[in-house]
Amino acid sequence: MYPHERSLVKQLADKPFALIGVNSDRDREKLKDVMKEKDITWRSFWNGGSTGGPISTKWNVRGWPTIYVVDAKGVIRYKGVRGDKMDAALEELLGEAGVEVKITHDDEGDGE
Amino acid sequence: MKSNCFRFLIAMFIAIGITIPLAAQEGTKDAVKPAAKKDDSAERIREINKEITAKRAEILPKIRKAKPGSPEYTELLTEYYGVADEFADEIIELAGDNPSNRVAATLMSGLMRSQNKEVVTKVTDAMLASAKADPTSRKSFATLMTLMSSPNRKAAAEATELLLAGVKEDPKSNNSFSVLMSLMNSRTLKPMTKAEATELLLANFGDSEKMADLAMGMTRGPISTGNVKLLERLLDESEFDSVKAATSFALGKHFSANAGTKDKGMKLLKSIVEKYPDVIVGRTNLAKTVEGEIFEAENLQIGMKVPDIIGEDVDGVEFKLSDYKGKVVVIDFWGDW
Repeated sequence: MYPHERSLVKQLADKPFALIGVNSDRDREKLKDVMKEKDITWRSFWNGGSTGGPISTKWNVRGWPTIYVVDAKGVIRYKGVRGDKMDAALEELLGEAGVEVKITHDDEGDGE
Repeated sequence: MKSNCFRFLIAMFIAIGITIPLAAQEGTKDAVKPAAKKDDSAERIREINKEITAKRAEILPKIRKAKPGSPEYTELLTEYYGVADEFADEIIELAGDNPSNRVAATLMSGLMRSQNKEVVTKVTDAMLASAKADPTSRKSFATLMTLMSSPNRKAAAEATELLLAGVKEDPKSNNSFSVLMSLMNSRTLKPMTKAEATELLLANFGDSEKMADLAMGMTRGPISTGNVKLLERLLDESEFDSVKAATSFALGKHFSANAGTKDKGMKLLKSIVEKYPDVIVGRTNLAKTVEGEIFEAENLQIGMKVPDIIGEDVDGVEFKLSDYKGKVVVIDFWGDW
């Protein structure tokens, strides 16, 4: 997941796009190290240190990762899309918002 | 509902990956109680246990690091349980000679997890023999229940037969309830059909609070028409809130999984939150469990306006999902594990 997401965040940096995580790791300090090490630059909500935390419980999340894609009007448009399917969804939704993009990744999906 | 299976897998990995290694280690500490019979053999059991524990301690950190479900993880688990294989014969003999030695018993159940079929067969055969030697004890009952789901089919069949004989003798006992429940939920060997087991459960426990467990046992898969009727009857007639909550849960999940009966299902699930907010079944507060399902059904479907999330980021800075209004947003529930 990370390389694909890193690539998306880099490519869409100047587009009306945001990747928002909800993180359920246990150890906050360790997580900060991991994020630094793996270049995870996007913002995440802290789910209280557990997969049973308040946000994932409210959203009834039972599998990780769980993905929602929301359009520029704030409407849920896709669930559970990853990889190519996520790219296609983003191209479509950004297109609707008047921003034409073609998302590409290199072999590692790192887009560099 | 969609990820019930996933949840089950996660639970299983946690159970296998963490609980068992820990349990195995805990067992070791308890183990100091020496066997009454033979000091020498008790000493030898301790030695074997120590050696196995030491070897496993080297593998455990690797298991914790591996991704659950990955081939590497499975391989490590095989290695972890396989450590005891070379001692199998000796353990079986020692356990046979020292039936009250707890370390030996722990080592025996550890051997049941071996990937080596021959080892599993030997151990389960020996366990069956010891249970048959003392068929009415509590320990034997537990052993037989374990054997019922063993891959050693012959031992499993024999254990099941013995347990069913016990059910015949005293159908209203707690043991009988456990045996029938486990048969009702069994996916493998069935000397008795699910319907027969259900019938016996109902006949002997129909007016008891145990029917909540029965209803929960049905939430694992689609519910047959016959069982839907049964649950509806229990919901109507039972005097126990736990039974009412559990049957509403089972029926609610069942109905809301189909487009045609979705409203009916959601109504049942909501009734749990309204009528039984504090009822605990097993160890689960069902109202809390269904709140998530209801929220998802009513707020998180495709085409719905996304609910806001207000919280803090990893650095403790407060922010809201709605801060990103006007942008296309991917929300990713993730963890680095």
